Amino acid sequence: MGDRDQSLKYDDEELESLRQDVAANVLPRKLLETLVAMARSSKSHEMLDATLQQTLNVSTELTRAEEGSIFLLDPCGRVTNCILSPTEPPLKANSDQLDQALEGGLASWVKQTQKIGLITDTERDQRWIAPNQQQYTARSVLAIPILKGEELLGIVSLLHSRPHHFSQQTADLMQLAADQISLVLQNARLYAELDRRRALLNQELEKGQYIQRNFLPESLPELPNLEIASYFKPARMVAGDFYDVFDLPDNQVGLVIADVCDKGVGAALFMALFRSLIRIFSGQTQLEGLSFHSEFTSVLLDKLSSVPIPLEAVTFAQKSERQPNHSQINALKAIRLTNNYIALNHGDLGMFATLFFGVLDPKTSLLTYINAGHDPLFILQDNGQVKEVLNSTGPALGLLPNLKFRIRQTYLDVGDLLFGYTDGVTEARSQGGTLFTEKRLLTVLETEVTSAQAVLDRVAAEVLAHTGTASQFDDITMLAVRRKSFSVT
Amino acid sequence: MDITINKLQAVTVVELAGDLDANTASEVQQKVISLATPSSKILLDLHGVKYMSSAGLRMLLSLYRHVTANKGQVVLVGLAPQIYKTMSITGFLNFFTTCETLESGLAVLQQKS
Repeated sequence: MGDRDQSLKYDDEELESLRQDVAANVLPRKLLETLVAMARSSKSHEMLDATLQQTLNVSTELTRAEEGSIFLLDPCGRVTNCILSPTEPPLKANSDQLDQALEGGLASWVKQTQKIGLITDTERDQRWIAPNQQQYTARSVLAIPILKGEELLGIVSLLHSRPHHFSQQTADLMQLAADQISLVLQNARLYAELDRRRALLNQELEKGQYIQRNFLPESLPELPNLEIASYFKPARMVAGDFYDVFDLPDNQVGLVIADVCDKGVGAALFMALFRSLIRIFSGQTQLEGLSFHSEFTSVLLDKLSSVPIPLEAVTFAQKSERQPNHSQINALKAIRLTNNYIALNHGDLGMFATLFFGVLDPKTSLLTYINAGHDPLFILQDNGQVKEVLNSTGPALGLLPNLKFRIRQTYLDVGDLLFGYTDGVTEARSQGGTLFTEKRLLTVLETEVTSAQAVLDRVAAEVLAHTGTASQFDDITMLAVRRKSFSVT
Repeated sequence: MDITINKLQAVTVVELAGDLDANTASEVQQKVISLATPSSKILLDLHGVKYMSSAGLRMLLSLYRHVTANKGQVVLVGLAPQIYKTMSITGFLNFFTTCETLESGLAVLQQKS
């Protein structure tokens, strides 16, 4: 109380100067503090209401008003947000009700004139229309328009039960504050808009993510002597990585692991394209009951396979000099067709994918493959030692038309595991920026193989431990196929 | 990403420093593609690039397509071992002439005319 007594000793002029100071310094600072605090908080959707509340609090404090309200308007003059009391939470009334609140009376006058409305005594001013059903009787009212140029952003109304509480000086004071309030409200409105748009964008990405998940196999084929496992962890909501496992004619199984260049939505769109083209061109998809490799479709393929590669040109790993499996070779034509499709139709975008496509015969475990510019796959023995490295046999897909891709063959022995990964594994970064590396991957792999799933789980755990709290840099995808021992049944 | 563009006689030397990834590739692409005018000779000095993601390779592919469409030449210089390896696996080395030093790169471009 001592302080208050002291303050009473100020003469009018000093008091006025003090208040001007408050309006010019304290008010903007308080409002700015709110804005910064709210912008930092994750609850930005509540920011607008909190800013309005704070604006009203500061205004009532400054003018010693007993009650007050604040209305925020959209560019058409309709109420978008309102706070009807410095002490109560924001009102969730419907917009028609809120619009009515500004019809007639002082608020309406302020809206029209865009000037500060000062009523020193409500009983002697025709602009005052007492609201219905209210216990509180206002005798002195101040309504301040918050303007951005000529646009009315909002109206702050301040009330007091004593006539002549608000004077021309109070009005002048609030006039000074109005510009600051305007800036704060503009910012708050921008944040609210940003938040709304971010939410919309997120919704779209979520839909994209949902659809993209549908482009990955829903379940992996279960075959008597094969165990197939996969791991997929996109860095963003939508990914450029993918894997695929699907049935092909003549009881063959198609195996794909791929990484579309670049990141985000563009890579995700091309992922869908690459995945579908490989499925269609390999004969996984039957069109109108016809395999894509039919007389009917051969005309369509002519343009895409402008440089036909005779089967004799196919090179095989020296290790296996088995007879080429024609069903497998046929499916692998999908590589050349897909490359040409992308390069001829979308060359301008410079999009490409590194892609391994293998066709496995579950009966003989003969694996015929093309590795189009992808990181090497490994065949591991059951002790985790690398038995064979399936290096790149051609360029990445989609670079230029008519590139050559060599076909190679190998064989999965009983207990062998085919392991494929994308560079999200080897280039996973720790918080300090060090990469996981291929060397580390090989060390992690070098443990007795109990199951395909166990291998992927172990690598994933190591990679995630390596990245720790660092944000995931790239999509992480792995595929493993293990030839189990022959079942006795 | 720092991009420095200098003209050395008939050769445009583009020096890049920083990571060439999804965040920087489009800016580099915008600046570099515009240099691929008819019969242009471009030397891309990558000594200062320690990391290149597939977004960087995509930029190189676009550059290659523009340069060849305009009957120009492009030489890459100073590839970090990891980048060289990635370009080898993905088949990019088949399209690009690469040199270890700026001098040898310039010599290649000046001799082919």
